[in-house]
Amino acid sequence: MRLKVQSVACGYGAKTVARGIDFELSSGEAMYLLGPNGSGKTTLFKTILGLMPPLEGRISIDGEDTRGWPQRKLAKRLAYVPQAHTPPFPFSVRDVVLTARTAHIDLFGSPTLSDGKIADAAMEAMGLSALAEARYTEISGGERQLVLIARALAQEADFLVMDEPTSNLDFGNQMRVLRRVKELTGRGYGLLITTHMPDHALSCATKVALLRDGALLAQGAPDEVLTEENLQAAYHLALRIADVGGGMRVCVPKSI
Amino acid sequence: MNRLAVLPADGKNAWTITGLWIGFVAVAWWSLTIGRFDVPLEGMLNTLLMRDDGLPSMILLQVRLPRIAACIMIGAGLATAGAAYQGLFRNPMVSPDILGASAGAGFGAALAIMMDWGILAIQGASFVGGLAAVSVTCLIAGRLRHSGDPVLTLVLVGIVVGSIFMAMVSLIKYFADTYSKLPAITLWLMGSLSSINSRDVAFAVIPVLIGMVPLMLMRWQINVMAFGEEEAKALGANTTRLRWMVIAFATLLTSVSVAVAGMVGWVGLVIPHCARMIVGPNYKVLLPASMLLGAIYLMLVDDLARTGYVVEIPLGIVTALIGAPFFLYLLTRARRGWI
Repeated sequence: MRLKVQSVACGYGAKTVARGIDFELSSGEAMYLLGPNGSGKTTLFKTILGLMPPLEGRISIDGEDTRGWPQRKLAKRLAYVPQAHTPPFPFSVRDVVLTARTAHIDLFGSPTLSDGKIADAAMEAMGLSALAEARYTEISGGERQLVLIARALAQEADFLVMDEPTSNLDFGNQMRVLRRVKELTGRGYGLLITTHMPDHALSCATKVALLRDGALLAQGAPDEVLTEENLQAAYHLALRIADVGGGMRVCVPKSI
Repeated sequence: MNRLAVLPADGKNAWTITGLWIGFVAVAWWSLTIGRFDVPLEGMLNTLLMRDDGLPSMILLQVRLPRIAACIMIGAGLATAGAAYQGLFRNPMVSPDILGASAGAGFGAALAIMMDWGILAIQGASFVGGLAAVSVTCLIAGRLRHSGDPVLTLVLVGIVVGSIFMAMVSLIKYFADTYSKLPAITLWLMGSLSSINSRDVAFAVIPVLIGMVPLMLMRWQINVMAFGEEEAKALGANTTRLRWMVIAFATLLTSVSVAVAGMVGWVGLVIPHCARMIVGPNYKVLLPASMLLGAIYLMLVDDLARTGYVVEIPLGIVTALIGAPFFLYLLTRARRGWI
């Protein structure tokens, strides 16, 4: 399965935020999208998710243009993982995960037993079974992020689009989320992830795109894209990529 | 397919809903028995078995029964509408009153009363007025989306739109005929069921069902709106259709209540809160619980209104006197956010 973004320009009305965006994402790949604040990541995400139409270009899934697809059809292929948030009502974790079934349920329907099983399996895959009846508003930020990933799994889409899944999380929770990201890539999902942390892309990405001022600076394999030169150009910062052993590399500024 | 046994927590909630149904029937029965005229049990049974029993039968069938039926429809309708609005606007503070729906419906109905239109036209004008007020509120609040807290904006705009419609109601009262129309409009605005008859009830049943049934059918989908427009869309919901359907049906319920009983405030705000405290926020259970609790509450309030004092007290005054302080109590004890 393949998500293809071809020379897409996106933005609001007359204001183009990003243009000339070209990339491909297949099942089993984790593509990290890096870029400074205001580089157009969020707008690009919204466009891919069908929340706003592309100003130019074409977004397709398995060769079929997604423009004009009803949200319901798109949601069966593409699941969105927002940043951990707090809804106004204290839903149980299970209720939150069950909202994933919206695209599979009629307007006048509600989740059936099989929907419930799908939700339970998704929670189990994220190690959340014990929290199923907990209030979503009362669990930790890291747990909330995992709930939202579980919800995306219960949506049974092929591609997961994650908006900074590790932001606002403490260090331990960030690593727990990253481990799940790697697992999901192994299970054959296509992942599109934004992040502000080059380290995360270094350890989890199979593909990286570097966005700057609404244009792609570089894209390709992590080793080719996440170079000191490219990152320095993207962030206007003197930095260094260091191998710390154990197959882990980190990106640190040369000085602060 | 068994749709009841979906969630583990549903077992408990199924019992709660059953309990509410039992309470509902019990309160309805009890409300039939109480009143100024003492109807003995024998008289009630005779009436139920269609054996005409003269005066008791007349009081039960023509006075108390329509009144209790109206309480059920209005209480259930306002509470359901309030719960639906709260889910749609992601805000436990909104209610038919706060969005301007009641004021708009009140203006429509007052206009119709002044013009001496029939009962259907009063309901129609009330619905148009209510829908107009809610739409204006939503549109203006949407325009002001980028000016800070959207929830606060919505509530403030709703209050402003509500007061514009209330001012127009005052204008109608000012121009209305002092001897015939003004007292009618004023009394009706206070929220009263004292002059209700079976014809009024019959005319209200259909719009109440038109509003209630679709909301009940699509109640699970209201959950998804609580996560915000964009997330709901990404989850595959047709948010535009869902939003307008919920607004239309909830406003219809509000308007029917206003057309039948005038301004009965606070039910749509307080009852969904209580229901949420009992069964949690999942609309699958919350909406039926709100409906039953609203009906029970209004029957009890009406029992109080018609038997509590030597003269009958308008319903709207009692609901405000009970609802507003109770809401303050809820505000002070809300520890876990809005439950």
